Amino acid sequence: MSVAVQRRRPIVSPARALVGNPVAAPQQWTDVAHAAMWCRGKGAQLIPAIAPMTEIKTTAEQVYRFRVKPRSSAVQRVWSIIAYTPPSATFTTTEVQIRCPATTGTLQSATVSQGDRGTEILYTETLSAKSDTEAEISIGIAVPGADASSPVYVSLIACREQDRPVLSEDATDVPTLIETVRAGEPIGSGTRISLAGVLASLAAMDARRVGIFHWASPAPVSRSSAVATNLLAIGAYIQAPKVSRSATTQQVRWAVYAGMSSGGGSGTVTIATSGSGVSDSVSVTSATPGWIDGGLVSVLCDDFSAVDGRVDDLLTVTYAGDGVRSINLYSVDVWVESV
Amino acid sequence: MSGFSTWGGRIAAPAGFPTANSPIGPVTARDFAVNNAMHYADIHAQNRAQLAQLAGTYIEALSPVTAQWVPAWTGGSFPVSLRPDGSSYRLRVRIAGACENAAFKTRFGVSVGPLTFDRDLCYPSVATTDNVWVTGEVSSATAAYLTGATLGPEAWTTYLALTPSQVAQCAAVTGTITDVAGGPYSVHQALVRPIIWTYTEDSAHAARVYAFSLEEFPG
Repeated sequence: MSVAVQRRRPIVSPARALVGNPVAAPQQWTDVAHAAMWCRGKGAQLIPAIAPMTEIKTTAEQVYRFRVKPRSSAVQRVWSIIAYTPPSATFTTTEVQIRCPATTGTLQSATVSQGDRGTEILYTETLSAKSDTEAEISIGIAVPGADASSPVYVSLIACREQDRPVLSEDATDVPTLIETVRAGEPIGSGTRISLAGVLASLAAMDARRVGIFHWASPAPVSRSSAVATNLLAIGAYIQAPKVSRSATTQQVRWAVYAGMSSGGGSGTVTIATSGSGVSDSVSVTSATPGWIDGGLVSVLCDDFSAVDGRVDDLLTVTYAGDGVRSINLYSVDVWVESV
Repeated sequence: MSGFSTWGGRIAAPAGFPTANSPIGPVTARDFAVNNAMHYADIHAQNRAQLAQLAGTYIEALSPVTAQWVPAWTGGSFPVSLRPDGSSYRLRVRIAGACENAAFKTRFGVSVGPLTFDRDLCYPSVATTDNVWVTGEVSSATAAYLTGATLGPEAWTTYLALTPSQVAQCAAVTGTITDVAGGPYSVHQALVRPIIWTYTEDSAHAARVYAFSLEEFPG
């Protein structure tokens, strides 16, 4: 059995639940149940749109890696890609091959041309299990006809969970059987029914804003100098969701995918924020690129007292080699782990 | 205020909740269930775009014709979150840009609209709607975050949004599945696409985009 998810986010007026007012199932418990299921069914943005502006000029698959903690309710991921050929290419249209995850996913081919700077290619990655385990997600893009004089540019990568139109009656989706919170129905406490079902849906809630900041490149940016330098042209404003009433910060996790040009030394990657005063570093020692977890840091969160909810927390990323060996940096990721 | 919950944050569940024979009073309902459900829906707003170009790089756009808006970057489609009245969640805009040459001014704009381009709704030179946000003239060659306002009656300075009728223009039906290994099912969404626009007063001198973000909030 499945339960439909509302297309619009419901709003429940607290006035309907004041002392002295009758229990109003249609505008109270049904809407609370619908709101909980809307959060569960509405897909999260795992990778907010980035503009890699990568030039692919070899036939080898180019792999963009990201680290996220997905939501347990997702069953499909939708990847968005924009790729195009430059005016100087020896052909006007060429084939690109996409797969998610990179290396092992099902290949999907498309043609791209000079006029495709605004034409999006969608790739739907169907998951084999519902899971909220932190993991790498990746996209591989190959251009069989590419060479140095005929490259393909990648100007967009984004990934979101597909919205769920219906939730399953299981312990992962935790829906409320909506007919049990309608007017005239008895108040009960069984699994997924009545008020206990609503409260169980709330207790199991995962309303995360997942992707906060992501940068990835198939070819690393490298630096041998031990003096750190900025990765980005200008800092990026980031903002985490506000959880408790008095919170001004929220923990986010960060990680990098990096390696050294050879073993025996160590490079560093540091993230810092202006508003929340974060400064956190990781050491990169292995010559084999891999994920290095930067841990949890607290950044500024939503300010619901402001008309636009905005706070100003400027993220900067710096990186350095060890003076002899170069650090090779492929990915920097910041995401919300829990709310 | 930019959220719908009573307390602007999550509150703790009463002890013993939810168990059989535990009373569910109106205050508990209001303070716990209603507030938390609304707060979760408030913070479920997603970051839809977060561009940050590498040091020494930027997205450069040059109009082939003097004094004309051109798209500098097109984003991916996403199903914008909808409020109960059918309007979209608000989308907070931040953009960092500069001119290639400080002697030649530029402007920057952001539109969020349907996947099929609608000139009246999304082109900055003709749009009079609050789903298009533009900056004033920029005359610096140093990257900086810019201020602007929407072109509609609201003239919002830090965010944009789509009205219910604009959302209706973005309606789309996509195939998905009911669950892992589940059967086919159609999902109805309001699919929108962001575009970064630039305006250069000279066709020989470009505009440069260094960073851009688009974050939903309930409004």
